[in-house]
Amino acid sequence: MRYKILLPLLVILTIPHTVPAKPAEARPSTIPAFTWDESNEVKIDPFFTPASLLKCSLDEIRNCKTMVLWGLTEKDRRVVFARIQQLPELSELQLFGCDLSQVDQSDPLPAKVRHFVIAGGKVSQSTLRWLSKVPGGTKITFGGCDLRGIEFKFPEYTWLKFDSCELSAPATTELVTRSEQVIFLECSLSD
Amino acid sequence: MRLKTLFCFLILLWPTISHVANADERMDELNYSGEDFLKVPKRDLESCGTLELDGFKEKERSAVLRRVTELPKLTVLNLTGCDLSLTDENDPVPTNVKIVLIAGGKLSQKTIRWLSKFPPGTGILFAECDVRRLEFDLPNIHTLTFQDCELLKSQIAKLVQKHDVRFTENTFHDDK
Repeated sequence: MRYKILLPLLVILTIPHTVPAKPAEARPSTIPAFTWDESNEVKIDPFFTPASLLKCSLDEIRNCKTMVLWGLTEKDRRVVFARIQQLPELSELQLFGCDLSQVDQSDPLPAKVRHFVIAGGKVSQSTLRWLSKVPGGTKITFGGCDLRGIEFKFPEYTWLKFDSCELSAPATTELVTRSEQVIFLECSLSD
Repeated sequence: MRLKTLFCFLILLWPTISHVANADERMDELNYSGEDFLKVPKRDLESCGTLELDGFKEKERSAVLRRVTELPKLTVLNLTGCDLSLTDENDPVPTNVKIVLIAGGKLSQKTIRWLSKFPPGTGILFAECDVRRLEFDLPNIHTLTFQDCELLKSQIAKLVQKHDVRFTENTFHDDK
């Protein structure tokens, strides 16, 4: 008897309860989104100074996919970049407060990195020459950088974001017209 | 026995109860032509959070825009292929909208004056629009996106200086 009651109840409970809304036509979302990370997940990225990175054994960091490096100085540059080159899984490299002014096209780019973040620190035209070696489809974010007087020559399919940066107006125009996607947040331009 | 009966009734009534309980939470995504939008009963639009209007005509403009302002939960307004060339600052704007998408259709400087009335914090996306002759005098609007649009090179610096801007796959022309 119990089963006779239970079975119809189970059937009723499996029927969808809410009245479906009239669906809009299927189309790709075109809502403006200024973030590239739409997962909304809180993630804590491995954070290193040059000293702590060089102290780590390669086994400890071999599987690192995202790395935040803070305070790189010119004297550590070559050895730190050589270590970064040894990380086969690294796909995102965030350089905070790093002196990148002497980095140039002869320095290696980590092969699999497809998202660079350069926040603060020192950037020069030779840094841009180094970055311009990235393959198409790479995302580069500049945050709080003084980029006045710097020209940008990235591959066409590079995605660029400038957050709280200072740029030259002519270079900005040139950059926007040459790139597939560029985002400016709170930037100031000079002639 | 009474408890058992009550329990069974509760289970049977749950679909209705839960529907009522969730009515306030629902946010529908609806898509209409201007003509159809005006025919829909008002109660069917009450939970509309995203509205895509596909091509309303100039003669429908006033009625359509007035109706849009009557949607209490509307946060995304998508105007696709709409003639907005005569829409101006005298037309009403929905006050809770956070994102306005304008895809194709007709735009004029009057349209920009209408958009300037949207509340601070609204983001506007232009897709497949020719905006070459437009001055973006939008002091309230913080974020703008241009996707597959036609712009003048001289507009770039002005936009970057005043707004957060995203440019995606646009065509840029020299000033003449």
